Amino acid sequence: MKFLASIFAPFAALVFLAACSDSDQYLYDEEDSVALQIHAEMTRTYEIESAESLDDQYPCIDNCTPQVKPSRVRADTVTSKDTLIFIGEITPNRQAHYREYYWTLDGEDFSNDMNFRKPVTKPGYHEICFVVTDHYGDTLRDTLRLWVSNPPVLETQGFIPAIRSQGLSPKEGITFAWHGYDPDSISKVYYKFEIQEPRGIRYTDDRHPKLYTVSHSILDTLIDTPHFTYWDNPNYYHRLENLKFYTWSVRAVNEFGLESDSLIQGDFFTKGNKNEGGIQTFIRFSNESLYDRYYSSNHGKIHLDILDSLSNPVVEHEIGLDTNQFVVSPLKPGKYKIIANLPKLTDFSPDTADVVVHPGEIAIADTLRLLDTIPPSNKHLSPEGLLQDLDTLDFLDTLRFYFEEHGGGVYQNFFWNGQELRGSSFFREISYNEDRTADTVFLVLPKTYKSWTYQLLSISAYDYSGNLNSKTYVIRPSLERPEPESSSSSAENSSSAGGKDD
Amino acid sequence: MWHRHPVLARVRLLPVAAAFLLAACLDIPDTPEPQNTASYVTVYAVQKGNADSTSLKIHPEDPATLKAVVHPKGLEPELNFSWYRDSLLGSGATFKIPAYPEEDEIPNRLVVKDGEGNSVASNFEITVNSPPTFTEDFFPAQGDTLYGTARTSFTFSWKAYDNEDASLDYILELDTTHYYVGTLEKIQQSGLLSGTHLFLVIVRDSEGDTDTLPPVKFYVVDTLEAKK
Repeated sequence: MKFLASIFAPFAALVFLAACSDSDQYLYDEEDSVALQIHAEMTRTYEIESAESLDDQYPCIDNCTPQVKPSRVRADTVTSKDTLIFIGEITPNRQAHYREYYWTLDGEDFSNDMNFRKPVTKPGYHEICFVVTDHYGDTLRDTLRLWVSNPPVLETQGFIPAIRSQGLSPKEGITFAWHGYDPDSISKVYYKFEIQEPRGIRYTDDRHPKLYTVSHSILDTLIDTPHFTYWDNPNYYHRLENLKFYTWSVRAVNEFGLESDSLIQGDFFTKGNKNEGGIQTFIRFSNESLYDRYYSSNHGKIHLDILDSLSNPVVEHEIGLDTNQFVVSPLKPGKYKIIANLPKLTDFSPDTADVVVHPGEIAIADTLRLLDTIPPSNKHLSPEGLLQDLDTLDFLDTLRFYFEEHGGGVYQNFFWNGQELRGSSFFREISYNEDRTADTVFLVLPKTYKSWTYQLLSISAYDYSGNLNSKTYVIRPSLERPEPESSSSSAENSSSAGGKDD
Repeated sequence: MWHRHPVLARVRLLPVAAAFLLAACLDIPDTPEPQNTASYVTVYAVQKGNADSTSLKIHPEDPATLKAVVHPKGLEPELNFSWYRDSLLGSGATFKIPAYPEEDEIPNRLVVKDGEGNSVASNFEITVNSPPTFTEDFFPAQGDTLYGTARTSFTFSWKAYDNEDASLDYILELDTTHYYVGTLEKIQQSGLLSGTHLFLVIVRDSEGDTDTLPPVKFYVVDTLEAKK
């Protein structure tokens, strides 16, 4: 027994000693400790992510092309349809220093990934917490704040006043009413309300006017009720006048700044005196680009003449080309004829409309349609500057063509033996006259286009109303016809004749 | 040598089995005594046969009754009910509130006691709300004829009053279309073609009480068509 004790005693002492010495590594050593820091952020997926912009462990999402560095935030307002990327960071990033990490949403389990993509659909305020437990069992937290809200709803049916309501009096108060609400019932809804005097307006149908040019804004305000009453006030800078046409619009916006998808757009006419009325007419051009393209250009204005039933001129009026509707008031009740024309664009034919004005109302006349049915002209311009109405031309290094159009503009296509000529190398100079009624085009022909055969130059000239002038010139041979050497070489020459493709 | 008869052996076992069975029966616990202490009490209001247990809302024009419900049920005969508002107003499982009550006639606390000194209490607040009521001041009146066109803005007006609410919410129903007009009591609307039309208005106060203006039938005559 003593023998056994003498053998095991040193072993036991050795083991005990080793155990005591190993415990040092479990003692706290301030110098050896590293303070962990954690950081949480979030971003939206519709902002394009690049793999470089996020941690390597975070996969590239949606579009991997590095484009825009996403904006990472710690608090945000989103809709329930938005998908969010949550990004957790632990520094220094040595796994040995933390035991676990996870995310919570309002105290409930949310994710066990460091970075992840997930929507938060429940409307309201949320706290998303990134929780890390370090090697010593201490817990670190970083909290993100999130407001989830859906945009307010604005019903586009059942509003007051209905489209093209007549006889609304600013002095008696004009009431506007609509229906909007917050689908989540968590946010107060406000309304952006505007009244404007329009210059240009189009109707997609009888219930949906679309405003595209405005003379000026009468009223622009933010209100918290789904109704508004306009009372005339002499102190207003812009006031609603009698017998005029106005548009109004409403968009709902909630406390988080989210706007309704829908927009109410309405219009109305103001009231006149008992023995006064007015006329509203819409104008359409066959050249629709006149509305926009030549805005404030020198194409002149629309001239309007309003004649009474005895053909006496009552009103002479001029409006800009960007104004597709106009109201003339006050007029005495009775029958009138409206004549509209474009004095500076003589290709447009005038149009007329008859209308009866009733007391207190604005009569809506038929739309006046100003149509250009005349195609542009095309003439050859000689080197001496003479206009020539020729069909056959000599080959010149520069051919000049003159196009005349009185309907707002022209564009051309050139074809050499059926192939369209494109590129600036062919067109040295294109000049317009002052009122853009004529174009001069200098066509530069390469020497390689010379040929001993007749060639064809076709020119298609379109105006902006779609009228076409197509003309084909015959270009005389510009080279001597080569002498035939043999039947085979003759055939070769023949096949390459007129080849401009080189 | 003595041998056990198999049948006799079984007969001997029977008393043993019966004894075990009896002992098992003796272990069955007694039927618990029914609980004779109220755990909680709730109050609801009854007026004109309608019970309201959520908003405890009554109209002042009619008398109302407050009823106490004790849980578990069936204890009411053994309990004492005391209705308070600062001081004791009455006793019993029900309490009658007269028409047009003063504030101090409406209890806001019920205390229920049993014979052993146990008690439960319930604090509540009775809302006395008059429903809004339309006046006879509305336009167009029943059977009126309005002259104009489909674009003419016709005026519609109405008026309701409410003893408690300064502003009331209205919904205008014009033919089949609902218009949420908020607090407006006068609007102008167009789009009415020649013929017969109906309009009615629903008013609602902040307590959710409503009144409806009976449907008003009126006629529109198109002045332009008449002149043709």
